[in-house]
Amino acid sequence: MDEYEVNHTEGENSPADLNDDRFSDDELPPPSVVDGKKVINGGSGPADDDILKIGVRPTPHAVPKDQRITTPYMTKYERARILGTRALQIAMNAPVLVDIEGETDPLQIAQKELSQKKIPLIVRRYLPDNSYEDWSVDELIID
Amino acid sequence: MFFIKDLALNLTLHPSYFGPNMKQYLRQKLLTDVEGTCTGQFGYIVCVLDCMNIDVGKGKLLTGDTGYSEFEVKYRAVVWKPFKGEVVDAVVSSVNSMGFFADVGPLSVFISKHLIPNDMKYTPSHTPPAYISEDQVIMKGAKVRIKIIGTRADVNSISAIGSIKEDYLGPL
Repeated sequence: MDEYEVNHTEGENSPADLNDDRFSDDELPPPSVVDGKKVINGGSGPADDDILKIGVRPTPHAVPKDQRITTPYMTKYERARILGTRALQIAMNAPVLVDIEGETDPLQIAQKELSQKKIPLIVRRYLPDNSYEDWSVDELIID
Repeated sequence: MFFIKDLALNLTLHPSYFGPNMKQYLRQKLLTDVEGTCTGQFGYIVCVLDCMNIDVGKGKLLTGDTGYSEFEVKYRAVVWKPFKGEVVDAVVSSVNSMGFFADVGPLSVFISKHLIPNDMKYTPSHTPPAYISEDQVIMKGAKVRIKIIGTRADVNSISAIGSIKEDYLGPL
């Protein structure tokens, strides 16, 4: 299994997004009244406590297969690591999963396996919140 | 005392063993690596149970340029751990002037002269040397019932001392 860290940058919110459900007031507690004045809790009220824990990384957990959001394309970094790892394994006498047709260079064999989607590896993409998505090599799009 | 314990072990595998028989190989490797070993925490691993149900997890590539993969293997085993105060049967393995050693399965227990009844005297003229009282003899190969009065657990070994200076203990 392979491990990757992939950074995600989300697009800037367009003005239309501001009317999104995320900004509705429904979840906020009703404002309390002190001395005839309404008091509305600010951003770091009790509800935000678990979001704002500093220095605590949540334990890694897998994202279910149908909820994955990262790109279905294999990145060039993933491609490099997969080819390198697989070529190393082939060089160390791992069983080859394609017809080698007289090929002897491990990297060439690894490239042939990749083009036929026969590489038995899984890419683990870690996200900034420490969750991860597993993508097997045969489901990633190579171009 | 014997226990059934769920244990896990990380095994690293060379790429040349990859392939359809990989899990079978890992199970075999687990049995040879683990059975008969001793850990201070759990005691002696006597036997791995249900060898067909050994759970071999998904492999993980080791970091760096080694090419090896690591597998977490979960299994269930019979373990034996000696406890202070436990009474066990043992076979005497050697006798000397300070006391004698007795084997409780894989564990060697030392019984000091101070923990042998006073009427049993060390007799070096006897062959083999023995502790002898009026009606009892402790020599190499004799079966004795001992009480473990102290254990010390190191990382991968356990040592223990025992006593026969109590009622119903001594040669069988």
